[in-house]
Amino acid sequence: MLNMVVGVKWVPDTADVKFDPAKGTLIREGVESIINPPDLNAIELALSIKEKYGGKVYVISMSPPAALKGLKIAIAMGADKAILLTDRRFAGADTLATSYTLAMAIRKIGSYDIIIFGEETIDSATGHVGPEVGEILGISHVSYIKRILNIDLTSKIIELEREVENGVEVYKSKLPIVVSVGVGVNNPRYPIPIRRLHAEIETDKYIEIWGLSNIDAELDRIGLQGSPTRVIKIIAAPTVQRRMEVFQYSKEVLNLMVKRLRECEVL
Amino acid sequence: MIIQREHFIMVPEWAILILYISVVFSLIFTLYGVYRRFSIYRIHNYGLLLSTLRKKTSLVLQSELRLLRERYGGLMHTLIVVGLAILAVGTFLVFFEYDILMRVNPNYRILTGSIYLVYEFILDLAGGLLLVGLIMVIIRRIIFKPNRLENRVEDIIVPFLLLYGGLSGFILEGLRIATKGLQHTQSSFIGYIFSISFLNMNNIEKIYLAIWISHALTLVVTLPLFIYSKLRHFPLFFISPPYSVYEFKPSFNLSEVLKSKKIDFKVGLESIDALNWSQRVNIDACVNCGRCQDACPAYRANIVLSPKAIIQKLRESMVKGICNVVTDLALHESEIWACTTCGECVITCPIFINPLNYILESRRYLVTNLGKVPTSALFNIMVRGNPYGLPRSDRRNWMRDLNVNYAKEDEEVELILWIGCAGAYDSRAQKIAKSLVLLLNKLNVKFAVLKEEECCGELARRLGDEILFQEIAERNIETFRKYRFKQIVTLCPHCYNTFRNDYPDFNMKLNVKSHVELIYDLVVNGKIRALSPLNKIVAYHDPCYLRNYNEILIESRKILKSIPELRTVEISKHFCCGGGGGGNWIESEGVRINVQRLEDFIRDNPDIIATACPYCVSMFEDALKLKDLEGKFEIKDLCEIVCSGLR
Repeated sequence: MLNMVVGVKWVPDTADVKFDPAKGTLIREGVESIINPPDLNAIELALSIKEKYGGKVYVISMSPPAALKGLKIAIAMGADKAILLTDRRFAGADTLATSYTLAMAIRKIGSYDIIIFGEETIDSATGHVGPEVGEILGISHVSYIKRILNIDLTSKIIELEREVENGVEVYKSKLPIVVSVGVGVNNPRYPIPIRRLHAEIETDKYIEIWGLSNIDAELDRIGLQGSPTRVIKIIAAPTVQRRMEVFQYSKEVLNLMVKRLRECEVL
Repeated sequence: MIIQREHFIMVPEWAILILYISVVFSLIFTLYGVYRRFSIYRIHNYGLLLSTLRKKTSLVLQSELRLLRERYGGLMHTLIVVGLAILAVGTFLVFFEYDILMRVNPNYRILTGSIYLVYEFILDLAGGLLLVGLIMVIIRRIIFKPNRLENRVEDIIVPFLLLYGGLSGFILEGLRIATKGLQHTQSSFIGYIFSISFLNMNNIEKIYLAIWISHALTLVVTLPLFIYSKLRHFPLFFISPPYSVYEFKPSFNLSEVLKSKKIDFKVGLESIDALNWSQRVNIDACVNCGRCQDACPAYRANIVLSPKAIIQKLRESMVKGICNVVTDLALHESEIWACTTCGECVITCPIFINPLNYILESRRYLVTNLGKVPTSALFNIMVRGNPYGLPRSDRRNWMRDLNVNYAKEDEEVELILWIGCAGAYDSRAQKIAKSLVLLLNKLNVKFAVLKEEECCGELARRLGDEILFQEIAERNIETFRKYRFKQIVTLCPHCYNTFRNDYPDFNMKLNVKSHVELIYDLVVNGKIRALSPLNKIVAYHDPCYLRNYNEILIESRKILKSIPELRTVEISKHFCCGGGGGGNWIESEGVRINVQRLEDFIRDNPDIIATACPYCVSMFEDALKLKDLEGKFEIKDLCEIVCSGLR
């Protein structure tokens, strides 16, 4: 039996978020939120481990109550239980305070063997939280893993594969461990509709809502006061105009191509 | 000499006794069969049974016409049905005269004089028709052997048995004429022909008796076959409900479930137990004729799916009492997902069986209960409101440079234009949407679009996620209630069918028109006139959701006719483009349905293949690419052709 905890973030669908150049802010009004897509890969990995080795999958999220919708989707995919950490005092957290809060909550769950995060979030793209949780809990952590090779349930040793730019690294570690999953390493399953309906109707049975009082956290390490990071300014990256021309193949066209590429100083 | 029916000529008393006894046994055996069958069906609503009987009786002619769409098979069936029906009535008259009237008074007769002569003539004719029909059956079964027919034991026994019954009847008649030399032989014209060869025969009485007994036994055996063999389709025809393509109804109402907070319903066809009695009767009526299989685009392409096999497998499991539909044996997942929901099998079946419904109910089971769906389109709809998975805010991109207004909640608008996900997101379909807007602008037709537009839910319903479908439907219905409008026009036949046939289940009756109907109206009321000539040959492909689901086929052709110089070619047989029922989103292996359908058209070498559905357009354009025929044929939506002809 393995206990797995998957960290999930309820994020605005960044594809719909537009930049207001005048104010230098993001326009989030009217934008629907979604489960951070890489986290779906994390849930899928946890569920596939559960199918193979047995165990329990917890999903945890620190968010305003709106994230319940996302947690119901996680339950529908097959997670056994979800925990929503929601408290005004958690607000304003950067990745460090977030990781601390999550770590304290995970500690509260009790026994945990594998803690899984998505590679990064689409709204802030730091990739910090996985490794930070590992550091705070004092256990090993591996980022961007591709797949689990083997888990020895008696010796509690996990073997896993991590993809790097020009090769594959294979790791062996004692459990518990924190991993973050590379994007697109698996195909997240479809949330079972009838289970989604069950989660909707009997929310309390599947989802627990925890506040600050439910975890043992130091006040100065959570929320805004626990966050050393400050966002000074946001600027929009200039969009590059991409152009395409289609030609029938001929020698002249080849020469033209070479000429154009020279003009662009590519050649 | 009195002309009248002579009963039991040349038959001794003991043989008549044998006949009566075996008829009684045959009746008991048949009734036992009926009892057994009814316990398999679990019929409990006899009121409904009676109303079905009335409805189906009125559909006999339509059923026969469906059979006659195929000339050989149809003619064959009609000959047998007419022949058997007349012979049955004739035999009943004899029974009525001999066993009822003459028991009361030996002088009471109906089959006398000229009535009897006409009777003999009609019965000979009926017997002749029956024999021709049966010989056609046997020739087809043994010589032509069409692919879709399997020769099971009953498929051979039944026609030969009936053939023997008919032939022996004529031989008996011939023998009677040969011995007795009846005067009025001209009315029994076939019997007379038979009699010629018997004129100088010896031992005629013994031979007669032997054949008479075998003829009588044939009839005795045939009666139970109407319940024990595929001939049961005849009685079952009248008590099995006439299912149409719209039969796909929800088993629960989501908003009521959310209110009551009780999940006490089952979704989909998990097991044979989930079939209600009318479905059971319906399935059992299938004779394995395979007309649905010939009409199925998925079968034509890859033989993965045969609607006939689906019904037959369900039937077998039902009769044997095997329970699980999807997992045990009956239906395989690959069959279930190969279906394009075109509905051709449903509108082809002469008995009005609906194989599609069982496929869709199996999808409901697989998806709603187990989450098994072979495409990410559903997840995309759930998260982003469109099957493409593109951002919600991109839905408006297509109308950027166009004169399009959003509907306002406080202003009534004549016409709401519902673009649909394809028109909004697919780059090819966006052009169709633009054409429709230009067309309406040029004709000064006032319209507005809804800023809340999202997926109509069609794909969710056809792919089997009934919960997602109802969530979407409720949201859209809420949107519709916010606005005041006279009618809603759709660009996509799938949205159209959903609004017209699915939303009424949730108390939303919309005045919905497809863009084909709208353009047709504009042509009829003279708003569209004097179109520029188009000197091209156009072949029109009917979208299934207009043709099979909503019977919109004349309108499209009339629109094409209104264009000067345009010539049309008709493709005789309708097949789906492959895009429906999730086909556009599920990767298929082997021959592609769209390529095959394109080949149907390019045989006639038209300049343009016209259609009226963004899925069809995209399926055909993909097929052109696959066949390396890009640029050789144009694929156009009707509204694009009309719009470019407006001056």
